[in-house]
Amino acid sequence: MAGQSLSKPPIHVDASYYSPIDGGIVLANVDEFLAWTRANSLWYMLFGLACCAIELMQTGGPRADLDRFGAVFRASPRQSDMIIVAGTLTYKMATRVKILYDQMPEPKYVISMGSCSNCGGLFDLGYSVCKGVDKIIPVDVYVPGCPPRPEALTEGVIKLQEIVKRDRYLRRKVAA
Amino acid sequence: MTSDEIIARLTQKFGAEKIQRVKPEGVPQPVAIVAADTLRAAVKYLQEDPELDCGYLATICASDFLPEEKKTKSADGQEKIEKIPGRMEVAYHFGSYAKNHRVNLKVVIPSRENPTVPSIYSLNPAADWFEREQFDLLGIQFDGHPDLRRLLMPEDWQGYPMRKDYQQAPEWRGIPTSRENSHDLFLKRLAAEEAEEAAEEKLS
Repeated sequence: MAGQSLSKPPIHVDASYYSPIDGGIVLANVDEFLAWTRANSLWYMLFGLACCAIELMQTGGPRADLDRFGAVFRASPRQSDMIIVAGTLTYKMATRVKILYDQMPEPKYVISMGSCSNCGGLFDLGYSVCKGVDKIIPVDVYVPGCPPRPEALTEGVIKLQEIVKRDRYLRRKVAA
Repeated sequence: MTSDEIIARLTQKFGAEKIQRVKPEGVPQPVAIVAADTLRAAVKYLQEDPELDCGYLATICASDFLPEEKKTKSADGQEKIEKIPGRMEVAYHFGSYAKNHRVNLKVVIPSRENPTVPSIYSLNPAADWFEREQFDLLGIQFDGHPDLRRLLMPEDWQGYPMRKDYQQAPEWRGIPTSRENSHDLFLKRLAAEEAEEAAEEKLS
């Protein structure tokens, strides 16, 4: 409107809107605070081994959108907080999984995605397939399905967040 | 050219005792059974003859046959037991894009102990991984292959998994190769729960 100043009007703040503590202090338990931040920034290592990898990509895509939970994929074990083993694990690959898991920094978590990496699945009687990734590395969350839908994997990540929130990493006597 | 014509030409060139035509029932294409010592010459001829021109090696596959006994009844009602010794077979599937025809060769190895076939790698480099695969899964030695290593299984794997009498070792590098059956696990858990309940009943 003509004659009116274009500068922003002064903001009038109701003092009762803010907490009485000045300076925006948050009081929290260090353990809980660390766990809370880590739970909402779970970077996962890409480990697509079979058809589960397609669903893993879908989960990272815009519809299921795993980024909502702060989970984004990394191509390097050194930048990852967890590993999603997605697909059929052969014995030849099993030794590689162990190497990559050992390269991940502590604290680290494992999601086993799909029947094959849970227990061998369809290839239970096969000669070349490892009967579950838990024979190689410790698994925190098992996601059943062949392959699991993106919703199932998202549920798995939420379950892992609960585990991470319960975890008191600083009080661990021996690193797992 | 049809497969029959190609096999006829091979037989004409190398003789009937070296190359035989076999056509099992229900199989659309005849197979040329090639003696192991003529294999390389036959493949060379197939590839270099301008009319055959079979430069395309589609695949090499192999199969394992355990020794078996066949019971047959003769006309006078006497039972005969025919003993068939174990054998291995290696099949080569050749084709030609230019002439649009194909032919299958087969080498029969009479023994299952240390089976050996001449390698055709130097004639057709496509045979490299095909031969390595058959060595890996069935333990067939290809004489003259420059790099005969396992292709699919880990290098320190014991045994050849596609053999009919293959027994898997209980573990590999400390990883168990079998998992407890879920039904057995369920029964075990059920028994444990029942024992617990019985113990509680005794206490009360």
